[in-house]
Amino acid sequence: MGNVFEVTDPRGRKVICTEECWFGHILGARSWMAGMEEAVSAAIEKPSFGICCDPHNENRHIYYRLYKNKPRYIKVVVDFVREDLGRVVTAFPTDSGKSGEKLIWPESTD
Amino acid sequence: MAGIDRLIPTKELKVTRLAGERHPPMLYYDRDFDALMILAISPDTETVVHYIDDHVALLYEPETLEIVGLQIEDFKSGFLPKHENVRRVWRLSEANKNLEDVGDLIITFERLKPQVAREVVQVTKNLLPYGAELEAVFA
Repeated sequence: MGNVFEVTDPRGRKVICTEECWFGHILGARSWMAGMEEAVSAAIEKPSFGICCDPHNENRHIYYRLYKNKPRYIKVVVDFVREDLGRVVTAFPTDSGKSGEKLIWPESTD
Repeated sequence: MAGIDRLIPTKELKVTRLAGERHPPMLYYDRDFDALMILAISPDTETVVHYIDDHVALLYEPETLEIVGLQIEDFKSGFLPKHENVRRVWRLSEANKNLEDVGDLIITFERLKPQVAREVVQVTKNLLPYGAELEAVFA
């Protein structure tokens, strides 16, 4: 199977979304997200609030982007199987971040 | 967390449309994301995730702010170990391999759907706004 999209995040890391992920996972659970590939890829390329890390899995990175002036974000979860290659795990709209997620990019200067 | 503000306060969500009704739940489990979705409406309907705690989120319709389901994240790795009753029902459902579809990616549970949904809502109802109402919806 091929990829639905390939993009580069602000750190220069390549992220792919496979057809299996898009059609099997994302549309399998949320068929109404058909046609939202651009919004999901934009969240990876230009996240509104940097990049976060899952509290239980340091290889799982999370991107949030405000969605079309609506009161919600597109959240995209990416597994980095290699430091320079990530694979989209899921994506969906949310109205907040999740507790425990830590901002990893840009790095804190505190 | 990380300056990502909550855009819709929990108190603005409501459960007026589903209240007093019983809905056969739709369940989806995503193995890669380790998340369980429980929906009282068609999965064709747009929903937004509204986090309540580390594992539990409400699903609501963005136009009406009506709560229509739940999403449990870190379901097997974090939620089940804390809730024995849910774990027991879940193990029963997983033992029935002929319920699997979509190449093992998404599992749709038929016979055990109501029981899994009921147990999940039961153990989370104290966290949830309108917990009693939601318990009745998935009873």
